[in-house]
Amino acid sequence: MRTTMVSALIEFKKLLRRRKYIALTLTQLAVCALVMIGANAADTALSTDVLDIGVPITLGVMTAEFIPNSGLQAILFIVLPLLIFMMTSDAFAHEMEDGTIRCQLLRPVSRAKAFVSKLIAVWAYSVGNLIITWLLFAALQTAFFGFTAGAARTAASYIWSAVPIIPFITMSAFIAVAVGNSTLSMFVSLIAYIVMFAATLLSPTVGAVFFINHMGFYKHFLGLAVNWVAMGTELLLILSTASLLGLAAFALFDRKQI
Amino acid sequence: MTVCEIKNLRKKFRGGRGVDDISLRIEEGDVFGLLGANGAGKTTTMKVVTGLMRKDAGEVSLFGEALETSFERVMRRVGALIETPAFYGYMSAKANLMTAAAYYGKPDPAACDGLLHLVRLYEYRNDKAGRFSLGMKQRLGLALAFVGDPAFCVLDEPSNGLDIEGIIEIRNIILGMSRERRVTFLVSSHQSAEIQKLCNKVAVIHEGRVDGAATTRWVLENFPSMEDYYLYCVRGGQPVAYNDGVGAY
Repeated sequence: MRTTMVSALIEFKKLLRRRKYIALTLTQLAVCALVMIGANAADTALSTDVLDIGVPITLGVMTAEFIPNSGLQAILFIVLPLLIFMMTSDAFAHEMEDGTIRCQLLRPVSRAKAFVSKLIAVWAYSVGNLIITWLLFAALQTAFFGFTAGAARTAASYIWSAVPIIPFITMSAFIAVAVGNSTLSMFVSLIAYIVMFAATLLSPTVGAVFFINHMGFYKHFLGLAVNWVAMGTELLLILSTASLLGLAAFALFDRKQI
Repeated sequence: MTVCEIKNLRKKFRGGRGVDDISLRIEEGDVFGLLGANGAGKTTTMKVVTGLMRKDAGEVSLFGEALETSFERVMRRVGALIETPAFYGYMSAKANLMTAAAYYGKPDPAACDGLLHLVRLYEYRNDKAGRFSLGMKQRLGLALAFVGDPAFCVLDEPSNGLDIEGIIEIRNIILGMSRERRVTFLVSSHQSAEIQKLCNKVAVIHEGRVDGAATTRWVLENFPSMEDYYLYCVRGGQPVAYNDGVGAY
């Protein structure tokens, strides 16, 4: 366990040294901040009129809850998949291509631990991305609109979104190991994602078999009461899919001649 | 003490290339050379010894323990430079060494500086490794192989692509490590002169098989040079593959 965690920490530090991931995260944060600032400006301009006609709710409260949750949806469906595909392609396919995977495999780390440590690092970076985004939204929300009752629900939505991204990571790892070429692996991951996304949109019945259908896992926390049974079932489905894809990826990785 | 023992190793690729029935025994303090042409099976043997490749048949044990069952334990005492030096180009030389050292416990910056001094890269320690010249990359690869204070080092063509001074420099580093720290080496090369100057024992690999193994002293007592011994082996002039007790299979 210690070796895995040490190896995962090394992998995580490697991700932090790559400018492209940091640039993508910073761009995402900048967009989030700009949207929030813009919403606040629009709200300030409009709120006087709204209050004048006696509507018992300010736009501010709606904006405060709406934007972070819409932001989460955009991050989960667009930014994180891209980031995950990039990171797993680099961690597996690119390192196998240029031989830098030997930096890890020639050290006292078994293949299984090396594999798991890469997945943990990608997951940790993705979760870090979610947490930083939530912190940014929470700070701007509080600064502009004060503390709102929905803030806790928003926080829970962001934190629990760490779960449905796991199958994304294992699927992308499977593709990266199978394809063995970083550019192609990124491309195949994207195509697979688009196909699954389209299938989910076109036919909810067909879409239900794909893990993308469960990306809205956070919505369990948006209602007034949490349906724990539905949430547990969905959690089980997500983790089962992730495990199957992960095992298939490891079976390939373990047989790779480096 | 036997540091590395390979028995009847077989690893075949599609098309028939690979190694077949390789047996070697490397004792503590040896600088053991694998001499062979390109594609003879030197790198394949080294990759199997370091776990980068799975063997089809045979046994590989390091420090008396089977590689498959005690991989992590034995690899704590093994350093390797296989094919081209493996390092992260976007990191500095020192960051690369610190990253590698983290696998063995808390990285010691002073130890990493010591390795950088050893391979004469200290003044470039903060430069990105990806911008290094070929010789500097090779020296960094060597320093990375020495991270973790290994007792056994597997070096695949360590002087590949180096100029004369670079080759001498690398040779001196290896011999210094062997004499001063009792590090055991398995070194491959396709240059017989290099093996003659560097190794105390040699095995000639030809078309995936060991065609001969002997001490360098025995070779030089019986042949004009290592090159002659190599040619004698690969041309089938020596029916008994092992001499002077080396290998003893």
